[in-house]
Amino acid sequence: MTMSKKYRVALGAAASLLAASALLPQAAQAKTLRLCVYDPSGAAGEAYRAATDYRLEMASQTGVEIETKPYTNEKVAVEDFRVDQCDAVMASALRTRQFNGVSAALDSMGAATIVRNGKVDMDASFEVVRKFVEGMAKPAAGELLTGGGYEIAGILPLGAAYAFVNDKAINTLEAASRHRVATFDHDKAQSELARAVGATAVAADSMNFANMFNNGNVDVVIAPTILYKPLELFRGIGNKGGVSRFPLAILTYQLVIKPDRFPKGYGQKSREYMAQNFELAIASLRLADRGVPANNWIDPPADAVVRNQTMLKQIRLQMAEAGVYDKRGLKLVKKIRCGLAPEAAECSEATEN
Amino acid sequence: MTFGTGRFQPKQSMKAAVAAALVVTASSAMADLRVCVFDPLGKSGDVHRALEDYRIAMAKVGFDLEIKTYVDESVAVEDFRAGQCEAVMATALRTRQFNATAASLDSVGASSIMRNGKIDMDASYDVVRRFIGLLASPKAASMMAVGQYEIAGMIPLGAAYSFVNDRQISTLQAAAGKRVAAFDYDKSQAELIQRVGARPVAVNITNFATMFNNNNVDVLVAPALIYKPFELYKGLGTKGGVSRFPLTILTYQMVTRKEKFPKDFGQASREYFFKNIDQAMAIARKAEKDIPEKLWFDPTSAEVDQYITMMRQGRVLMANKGIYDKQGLKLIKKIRCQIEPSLAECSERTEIW
Repeated sequence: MTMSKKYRVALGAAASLLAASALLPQAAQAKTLRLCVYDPSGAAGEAYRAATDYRLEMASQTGVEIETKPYTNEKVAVEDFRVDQCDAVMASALRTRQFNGVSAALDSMGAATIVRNGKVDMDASFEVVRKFVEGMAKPAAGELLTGGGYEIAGILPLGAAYAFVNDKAINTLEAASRHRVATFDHDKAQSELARAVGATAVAADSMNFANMFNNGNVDVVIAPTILYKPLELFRGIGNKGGVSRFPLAILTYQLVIKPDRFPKGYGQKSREYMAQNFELAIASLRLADRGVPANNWIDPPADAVVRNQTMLKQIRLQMAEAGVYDKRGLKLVKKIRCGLAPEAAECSEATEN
Repeated sequence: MTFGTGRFQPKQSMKAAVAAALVVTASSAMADLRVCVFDPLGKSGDVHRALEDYRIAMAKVGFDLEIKTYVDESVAVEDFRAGQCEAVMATALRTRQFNATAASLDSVGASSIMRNGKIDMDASYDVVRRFIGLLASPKAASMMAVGQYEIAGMIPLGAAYSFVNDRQISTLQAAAGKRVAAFDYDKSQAELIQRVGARPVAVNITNFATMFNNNNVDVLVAPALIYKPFELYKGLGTKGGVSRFPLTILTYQMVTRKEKFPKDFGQASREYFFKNIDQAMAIARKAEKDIPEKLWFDPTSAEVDQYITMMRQGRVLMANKGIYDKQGLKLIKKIRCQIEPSLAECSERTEIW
């Protein structure tokens, strides 16, 4: 029978782990560890499924049994993690930045975007993400990812953050001027960008921003395509709106653990697993991209791409000076960008170095 | 090992192989070799009949075989392992242990091609045909003979569909928490079922139909071929149905204990089965018509895209675990992308190892 066999395997793995690590804090094996997972679709969503894959695989690889709990409210998931209701949390880097700024730097505005010949090269941009994730999965990066009682135990690409607009005329950042843009309190860069383009920032959070857009209270929301269906953003798009194919950032989920709850070396194994399965997440986010009808996509005019990308860079520099973005992290991402597209103007400039 | 598909010439090599085999048999005066064949319907089944045709054809070219038919697949395979038979014909789920590359074809979704929002069955069966043809080509011989075993042919058995006892379980989302039959000898099944949030219930070949018909499981994945003989309409009742979404196209595979057969038997036998593939295809596809039209229900195109993406992810996960064979999956992906280069996966890196 599979069940009993599995049980034996798990037991064996757990036993050998125990034997091998008498140094482990006792708590590590005492109870099932809880991973709190933010997924706007709850247990039916792609992120929660990825967490399920993760749970099954880590149990068989390390003998560590984890239970997963879905949250549709990201803020609550992270709060539960902070107050010890969960031993680990999977949430967007916008929220996990407080636990580790280096790895969250990947999600900084425009940081992962590669522009070539006046066009956004999405494949190359995801290559930036891949290289960053792979780099962070190397043992040498462990130190950067651990501190303050927290550890980043893996990164999962979530997709590009696009501007969803209720009018196709809003096809550049400047065109958002005087329009109402929903901005998240927990991502200061958003209100800063709104200010820079002369838009009206309307404070929102992940629980209400979609309704604000769908009810016409704001003209623009920034979201990845995985939210298009579950949050029914097509309602806000209506007949005139669309999705601007210019990534404001490439978003990632980050898995944060409290390393003292886990066996030694768990974080490293976990990061390697997440990096190994990078392609699976890409498949999910591309599925979400395909879910947006072709006639909803808006391609920004060629001259706007480079100009808007430069605006995002200015926001990054500002946020770094303000201490919101992590400078070491930004430097790492720039290095990857310039490795992939050395011809870019910024590669001969001193910014973000 | 790399080679293109579709440039083999079975006819000439068949002749050569048969001629070679004749020379061998003339000089070695073999005892009859026993092929243990699994057919759930015993001697009245199509598989048994096909193997009788095979026996006669092979006798004509000098290979004397004895066919022994089993209604219990595990006993057939056990008898083969124990040396009671020199060859066995069983489903790839069971023969994966002898040659994982050939069995890759039966991996979840491996042969499915999506076109216009639907699974294109003609194209999907074309994947099966090309893969079997590829493995029957002399170039693939070294892949077919691994260790002491050799794959001596493959027969398509037909697509496996989800039989549900309630049409409300028409989406994956609705399958969460439901009881799904999992064959205990195929390690991938229980995991893939858990992946979609459903509960695997261990079944075996002797009890699966009763389990479904008695409502001990809510979902059964089975080839259309067994709908009638196993009276699955009992389990479907008045509320149930069959999802027109194939989870895999199953094959039978013949495995020999290589040393017991003349050197050229394997190649001749593989070519025989490939030459006769149309008959098997016809039987497999006719079985789908045995299921009354009103019982079928169709997933939406968005669901098809989602399911096919999930199955692809499931294959990668199972391959990373060592349950599925990477080389085989890579070859099949190549075939899928030859048939339909515009598939989403063809611009992604999944299943390229």
